[in-house]
Formats: sequence, C-alpha cells, structure tokens
Amino acid sequence: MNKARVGLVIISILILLTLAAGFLSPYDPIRQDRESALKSPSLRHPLGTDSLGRDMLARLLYGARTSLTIALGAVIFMVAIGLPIGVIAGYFGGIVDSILMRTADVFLAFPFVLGAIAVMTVIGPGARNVFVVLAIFGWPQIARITRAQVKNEVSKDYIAATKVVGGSAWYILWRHLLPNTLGPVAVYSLMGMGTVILTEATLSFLGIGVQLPYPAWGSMLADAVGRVTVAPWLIYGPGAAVVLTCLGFNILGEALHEALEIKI
Amino acid sequence: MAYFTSNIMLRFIIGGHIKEYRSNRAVSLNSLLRASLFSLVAILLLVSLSACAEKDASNAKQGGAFNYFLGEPVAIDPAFAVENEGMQVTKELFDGLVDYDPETLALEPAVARKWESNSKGDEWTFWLRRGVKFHNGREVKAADFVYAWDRVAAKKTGSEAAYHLAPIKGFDKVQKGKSSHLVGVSAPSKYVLKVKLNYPFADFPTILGHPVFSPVPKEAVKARGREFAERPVGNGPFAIDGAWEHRKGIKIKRFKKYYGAKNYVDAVNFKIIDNDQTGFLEFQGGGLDYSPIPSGQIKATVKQFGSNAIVGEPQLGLQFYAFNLRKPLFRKNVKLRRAINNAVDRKTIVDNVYENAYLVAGGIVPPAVEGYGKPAREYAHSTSRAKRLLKEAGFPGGRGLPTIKLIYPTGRGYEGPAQIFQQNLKDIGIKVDLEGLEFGAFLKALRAGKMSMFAAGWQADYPSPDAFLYQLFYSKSGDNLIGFSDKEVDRLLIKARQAVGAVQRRRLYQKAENQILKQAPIVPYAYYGTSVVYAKRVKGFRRTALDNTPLDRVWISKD
Amino acid sequence: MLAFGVRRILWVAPILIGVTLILFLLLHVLPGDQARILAGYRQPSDQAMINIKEKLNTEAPLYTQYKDYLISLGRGDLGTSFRNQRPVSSIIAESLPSSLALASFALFLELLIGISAGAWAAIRRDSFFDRMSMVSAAVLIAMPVFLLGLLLQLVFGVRLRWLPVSGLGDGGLNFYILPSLVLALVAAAYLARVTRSSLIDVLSSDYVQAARANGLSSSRVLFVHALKNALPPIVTVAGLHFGFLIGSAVATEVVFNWPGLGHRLFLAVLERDRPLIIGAALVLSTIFIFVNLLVDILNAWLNPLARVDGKQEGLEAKA
Repeated sequence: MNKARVGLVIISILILLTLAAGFLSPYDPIRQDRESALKSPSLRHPLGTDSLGRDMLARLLYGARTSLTIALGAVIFMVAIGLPIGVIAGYFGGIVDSILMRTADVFLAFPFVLGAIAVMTVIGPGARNVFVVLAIFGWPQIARITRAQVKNEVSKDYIAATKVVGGSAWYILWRHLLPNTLGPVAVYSLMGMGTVILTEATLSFLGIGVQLPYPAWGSMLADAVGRVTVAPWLIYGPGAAVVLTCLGFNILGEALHEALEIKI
Repeated sequence: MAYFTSNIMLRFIIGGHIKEYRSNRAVSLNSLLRASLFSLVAILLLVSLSACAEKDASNAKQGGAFNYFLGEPVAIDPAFAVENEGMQVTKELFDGLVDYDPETLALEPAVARKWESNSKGDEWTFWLRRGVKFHNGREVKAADFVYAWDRVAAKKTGSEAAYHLAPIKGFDKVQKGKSSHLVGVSAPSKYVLKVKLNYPFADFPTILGHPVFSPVPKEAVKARGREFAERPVGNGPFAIDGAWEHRKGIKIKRFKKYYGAKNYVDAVNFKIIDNDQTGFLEFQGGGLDYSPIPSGQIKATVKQFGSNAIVGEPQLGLQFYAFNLRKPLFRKNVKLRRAINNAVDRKTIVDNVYENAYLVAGGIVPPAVEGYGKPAREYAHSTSRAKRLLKEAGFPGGRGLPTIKLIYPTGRGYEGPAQIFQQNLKDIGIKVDLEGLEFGAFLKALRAGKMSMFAAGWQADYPSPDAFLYQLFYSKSGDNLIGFSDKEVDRLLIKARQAVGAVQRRRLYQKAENQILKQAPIVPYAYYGTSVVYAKRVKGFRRTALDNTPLDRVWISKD
Repeated sequence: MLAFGVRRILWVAPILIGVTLILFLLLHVLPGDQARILAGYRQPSDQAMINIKEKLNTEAPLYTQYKDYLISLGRGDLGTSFRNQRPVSSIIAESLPSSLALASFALFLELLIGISAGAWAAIRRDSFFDRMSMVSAAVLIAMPVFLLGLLLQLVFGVRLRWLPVSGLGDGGLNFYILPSLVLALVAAAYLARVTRSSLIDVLSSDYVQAARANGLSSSRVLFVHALKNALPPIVTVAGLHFGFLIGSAVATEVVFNWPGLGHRLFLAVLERDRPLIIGAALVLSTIFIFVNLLVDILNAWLNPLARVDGKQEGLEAKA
C-alpha cells in the first residue's frame, strides 16, 4: 500500500495546486512585462520569468490546468470509444469481433507519436486537437484490454447459466461484463494519463501541440529548450512537473494493478 | 616584422582603393573601371614586392577544414538558386562574370575582367579573363555563359530563378518554349560576351553577381544529367567533394587550378542542420565553426563570445506593414496612413524583439545599399503627432474607424512586432485584430486582397535600390502587392533604371524613395541585421550584407 | 502453432490496406493550396501553376487518386518529393539505414543495460542498488525523450565535450552513443523492471530452490537455470521495443539532428511535403506491423498460453 500512498499524495497535491492557482500566484500567466524579462528565480518570481516577462510559477500552475485537462479529456475519450467497442467485440465474437479488432489493429499499426503527428498537421495545432488526436490513437488499447477481459468472463459458467435463465444480452453486458472490465481499464487509464502527458509534451516540442501564449507544460518546455543555455531555470518547473505527474500516475496505476491482482 | 609591415600597408592601400572606388561611383563607369584597374595593378605590384614576406604569412594561414552550419538547401545547381543556403554553397562552387566586395558589396570583376555598355545602356559587352578553369579542367569561354543562360531560361528547366534574366532580349520566347536560345546573348569570340537588353538598364552588371548567371560546362550537364544537381561542376574556388548528402552534409575542397587568390582552408564541411538551437549547441560543443544565433539568445551570446558574435550589421532586407491600397479607406486617406506611421514605436520593436540585431527602419532601402538608410523623410514615434494626424484625417480619437485586420505568416517571427504594433495603435484609439496564417494561406489571402493590412519581409538578391523600389512600388511590377500606383514614382523609377551616371541614378532613386515615403503606402519598421557567431580558432570571418560568408578568405589559426 | 502463425500473417494484408487508406485520406485533406506551396517562395507564373496542378492531378475524384496511388505503390513508386523533386523512394533509401542502425544500436544498449540492471536488482533484492535502479527506471519512464536528449547533449557534448552533440558525422561509433542511449534508456527502464520481476518469480520457484539446496553455485543457478527460464517475457518485451524505438525515434532524431527517416518525416510535415509524409509514414508503419507480427509469433512459440492474447499493452501505448 506504500506505493499507492506515494502516488495518491503526488496526484492530490497536483490537483490542489491546480485548483488553487489563482490564490498561489498573484500574476496573470499571459500578461507580458517587458521590464522583467528573463529574470532568474527570486522572491518575487520563485521560478523566474520567461522571455516576455511572464511569471513562470503562474504559467506552471495555470499550465497544469491545460495539461491535466488535455490528459483527462483524452483518457475519457479513449475509454468512451474503446470500452463499448471492446465489450461488443468480446461479447459477440465472430465477424463483429474480427471487423472491430482489425480496425483497432490498423490504428495500432501507427506508432503512437507518428500517428499523432500526421493527424495534427491535418487538423492544426491547439489544445482541443491534441486530445482528439490522442483519443484517436489511444482507444484501440482500451478496446483490446476490455475485449480480452470480456472474452475471459464470457467463457465462464455463470454467464452461460444467466443465458439459460433468460438474461438478455444487455443485462449480461451491463451487470456482469462491464463491472469486470473496470479494474483493468482503470489501471490502464491511470498509466495512460502519464503517456498522454508525455505525448502532449513531445507534440508541443515538435511545434504542433498547444500554442503560445496559453501555458501548457509541453509548450513551456519547448520554449525552455530553445533557451536552455541562456535561462536554464525555465526548464526546472515544467520539467519537474511533467516527470512528477507522470510518475504519480504510473505509481498509482501500478499500485492499483497490484491491489487488484490483475494481469494485463 | 616584415609580415606586419606588408600587411598594414596592404590594408591601407586596399582601404584607399575602396574609398576611391566609392567616390568614383559618382563619375562614370569607365573612369571608375580605370581607377580600379589602376589600383589593382598597384596592389599586384606591392604584393609581388612583398612576396617573400607574404609567403610565410600565407603558409601559416594555409590548411584545415571549416565546419559550417547550413540549412538543407533547395538546390546547389546555380540554375535553381533561389534561397540563401543554396546560394552560400553555389557561390563557393561557381564564379560568375562579376562578384561583390564582401565589405561594401561594390561590384568587382570576376570571370569578366572588364565590361562596358553602349551610350543608351541597353547593349553590354563583357571581356573574359583567360585561363579560368572549370573543375573538370577545361577553360571557361564566353560560349559557356551563352549555354548556361539559355539553360536557365528554357521552359523545360523550370527554374524559379529564371526571372532574373527577364531584361535580356528573347527571354519571353525561351521561357515560353518557343525558342531554345536567348537572341540577346552571343559570343562573338572566345573571350567576349555580348548581351542585348529589352530596355536600357544601367544596373545590369550588378544583378550579374547573382549565382543564377554562373557558367556551367555543357559536357558535364549532359553527361551527369540529374546527377549534376547533386554533384555540380563549377569554376569557383572550391570543388564539390563527393555528392550532396541530403539532410546530412555537403563537402567541398580547394580547387587547385583556381584563377584567383589561393583560398586558405583546404576544405569546408557544410553540416546540414534544420534547427537553430541544435546547431547552436553543436557550435558550443565545438562541432561547428560558425552558427546563426537562435532568437532570444543574442545578448547572452554577445556577452559570452565577444567580438566573435557578429550582431546588427545591416543586410539587404526590410520588414514592414503594408496598407491594402485597394481598399478605399486607405487609398483615399494619406493622413490616416501617415498617422499610423507616426504611431509605431520602431525602437521598442527592434530593442525588445530583435535585441538590436535588426536596425530601426526609417526608409525603404536599407543602409546596406550605399548611400541609403537615412532618407530625407522619416516617421518618428510620436503619439501626439499621430493623434493630430488622425483627427485631421477625420477620425478624432479613432472614432469612425473600423477595426483593422492585420494578417501575417506564422512561424516567421512576426508575432512579436505585431503585438507591439497592436499596442501602439491602441494608444491612438485604433483597434487592431491580428491573424496569423500558415504561409500558403497567407499568400492566398494576399492575392485575394481581403485584408486591410499585412506584415511582410522583403529580401533583395543584389545590392541595388532598384531591388526594393522598382520591385515593390512600380505600378506594373509583379511583386507590387500593396496596390501602389503613382505616376511620378513610376516616371522616376524608369528614369533611374536608364540613367547611366551613378550619381544621377542615385539621386533619382532617392527622389523616388522620398516620393513613396511621402505617400506612406507602407509602415517600414526594421532592416534585417546579422546575428551569427564564429569560433575563436577562425580568422578572417566576414558576414556580408547578402547574408552569406565568403569562405575563400577564411583561415584557421593553428594555436 | 502453425495455424496461429498463418492466421497472424494473413492479418497483415488488410491492416496494410487500412493503413494506406488512412494515410491517403489524412493527407489528402491537408490545408493550404498544395500547388502554391510547391511553387516556392516567389510568385509563380500562371503557366507554372497549371503545370504543377496537372502533375498533382488534384482535379480527379478521390477514389481515382487512391487507386492510382495503390497502383504506383505496387510498382514500388512512392512518388516524387515536392521539396526538391527527388523520388521519395530514394529519400527513404538514403535515410532509413541510419534509422535502423540507430535503432539496432539502441536495442543492443537496451538489452545490455536492461537485463543486467534487472538481474542485478533481482539478485540483490531490496538492496540499495535495487531501490536506486527501480527509482531511476520509474523516473526515466516518466521523462520526455527530448528532455533526456537535451540533458545528455548539454552534459556530455557542451560541458564535458566528450561526445559529439549532434549528427552522424563520419559515421563513427561516438556519434551513436548519445542518441541511442536516449532511445535505449527509456526502453531499458521497462526491460529492467520486467527482468527483475520475472527473475524474482523464477528464483523463488521450487526447482531453483532445489538446485541451490543441491549445492550448485549461485552464479550457475542464475545464468544457466534462472535466467533461461525468465527469458520468454524478456524476449517479448525486447522485441516489442524495436517498434517502440522506431516510433519514439522521431523526437530523438530531431533533437540530435540525426539523418534518419523519423527526422525526415518530421521535416516533411513542416514543409507539407505530402508524398514524403505518406511514404515515410507508410514505411515506418509497415516495419512496425512486421516487427509486431514477428514478436507475436515468437511470443506464441515461446509461450503457448499467449497464443490468444496477452501482449504487453502498456508498451505499445508509449510507442
């Protein structure tokens, strides 16, 4: 349970900071102040300022909102698409299963970042598009896990018994199969949060993610990378935030994984 | 000791030569030529006198390889020279009829040893130097220029740079595929090239410094076919070593039979890097001898590298906002245009966004062109004056004016200046909406002409006021996207093109520039400037106003 | 086993067709006037625009364009790059080898670092080394690849000047070290964890305990018996990583200015070079598909139970 505690602490602190962003920093994250451009960390600006004189702490806190919203939105979308498809494929099997899973395979045939890059160039950069893209290439994973879980469950005796008694397909799906998939899906979703945050950062670094001046960790990191020799402090905040958040979600996911004793 | 003496004397004389050359621009082309030839002879004499001393010195400078940061060029075949990276390589591989002095951009003889025109200025004769060799060992003759120019102009070549040849007689026919030969170009003898133009053009020799006019050996083009574009055979101080490795590098090595002064470095490795930041790190890690400075790091780099960072030298480029004069609101109201010109705080743009690497632009032709940069009329930053003009224009405090939409291409550094512009206009009561467009969409929007204002940058290919004034403001020019049309300006520009005397020509161009500024069809705000850095071990490094580095004069210190 | 292999191979064809269809559709709706971008910096003449439009065949209906695309694909013709009018196939041919070389080198480093760190951690379970390596593995997994790359560049390239900062240079081994390390470290972090847990399972199993009780030396137990039995999941993970390496190579190649296909693809995206984007993405996806196929078959062969499902889902998501 030790792991779970560490993960929970990291994630809760993160959420608290995000919600309290307005209280914690008196600065506006997109207001420029030419007089105090590229200042190293000080009491007034604990994480320094960027090239346009914007307070890095304020940007980091408000950026957390953008990044976490993107991550959460993407994961919810992934589950919303992947879960029903996985359940249907697993339960009905046969041709339905084949068609759905081959479609999933086609999406899985693109390495994640590669697919995201290709789609981003078509629909253009921006926060909303980032999570649309992540959902497009993320759902097949959820569908696969769900399908495996459902298949496993369907073969069990009690399902056959329910069928004999006259339970409808929807009843079985809703009462027996769906609850059984939730554990693995939750584990994967938690781990997926980390992956999504990393991918957002990479897309922003490549210049096709969230656009300036709106703060998101990825675009802040991308900006910082360009000035690393001049203003290394620009990297500390967003760098630590990305790594810690990913770590937090991964640890939590693992803890849940171990607690539920599921193999995925 | 002798080394120092001769070097100082050399510099003194070369300096004098340049000065003389500059002042002589005022007289006439012939006397100027005579003067420069005279001083050339004087220098040669001096060089031969101090030959012994000089030999030691040059030996000390000889050898080594220079590692150069290069973006992936579009092409290194001179026929397709359209952008900087390609031209940097092409200029080392090829020598045209003329060249530019790296310091002043004044015209210098190269393969042509002298030239003159008829009195009208529409027929030119070039006398070629003997003993100039292609890298395959064959001598360069006048016929090679005829072949090369026909090749550039030909329809099937499809060169984007072909328009440079447009003044030459017969260009349209060749371009349309109706003929394979430019009737205006002929080689009456091995070493004489004659060119007939469609109209008198006194600055014609100046445009010949562009790499697209380089000679190419027909036999190599025929034998190599497509391969020629990857492994061209030129006549410059360096020859290509192996083929162009795309996105990776280009290697060139000293051409031993070069006709000019022996270059110091044995080889140049162009390392192809697509990202300024990576290149700059590579430079700091010692893998490069030259790198551009990424934006935002200029001041810090100057601090760290001192005089090895070359920052703020004027280049042949202008950034400006243009009014869409097809819209009646702007076309009819010169006071409104002047008010906006006075409202813009050019100094803050240059200070804050460009870290003073660019220069405040008062006029249109940048100071990199001799005798320009400080026009008679300049718009100073004055909010009160701008407000007064706005009132006179009929919009007191901006009342009655619609919101102005300014479009700009994204990812090219226009975002910063545009935000300052927005603030400046807000100060006098004008509301501005900014809209960034992807470059293709931006060009499309320009053509459709629906915006009220647009941001643009203009980079000239050769050091002549013509490249700015005629191309942007002549009413029938294809690049006049502003919709500017003024009979007096048209008349002055044509007269300037035909004027043979340099003084008279300059006066006409200056007059035209002032006439344009009076009409205020654009808001010029910055001249492009250099921001590059080179390694401590490198000596003799120079960045020209054409944004390239002549690599034949660079040497590497051994200690 | 054979049936599984055949079935799995047969899956590949429809997937490949699906991939080409998605790529084709995606890139067909790219914004911006292709012809004008292709025409370059200067204002093109009307004739030039018409020539370009004819070449692009943008007026034909979509399905005709797709059909033409598949036919030329069958001939091995991937089209011509917009940027400099060279065949896409030759651009891929010149950049793919450096990508594969980098990925192979990274795979080697990954195996070396991942297995040895994992095995050492398993033997010295709960030791300082075990804790340290597992914590660093967790941090590495949570780190954006480009950030790791930048850190290594700054430390080993700029500050210490031990290794070249970027590029492939003359192809010397020293140019490979930093980029392949970046690729390998993240993958090795996964591998170390899998190796560790797999080995711990085996070490605590009855027959290893029995072997120890029979007096076999502990190194012999480790290398001959335990590691051999712990191998199947390790091999699976390592195989899967080859696809992961190719996928995550885009960011790494960009950071290190590596002249590989991932980098080319990224540049093609910036330049809206449609034929090159389609070509590069197609080749990379095809490689990815075939490596997955190979791993599945290997997986099935090593572990008959896994023939139904049982892939390492988390890893693919990262790639």
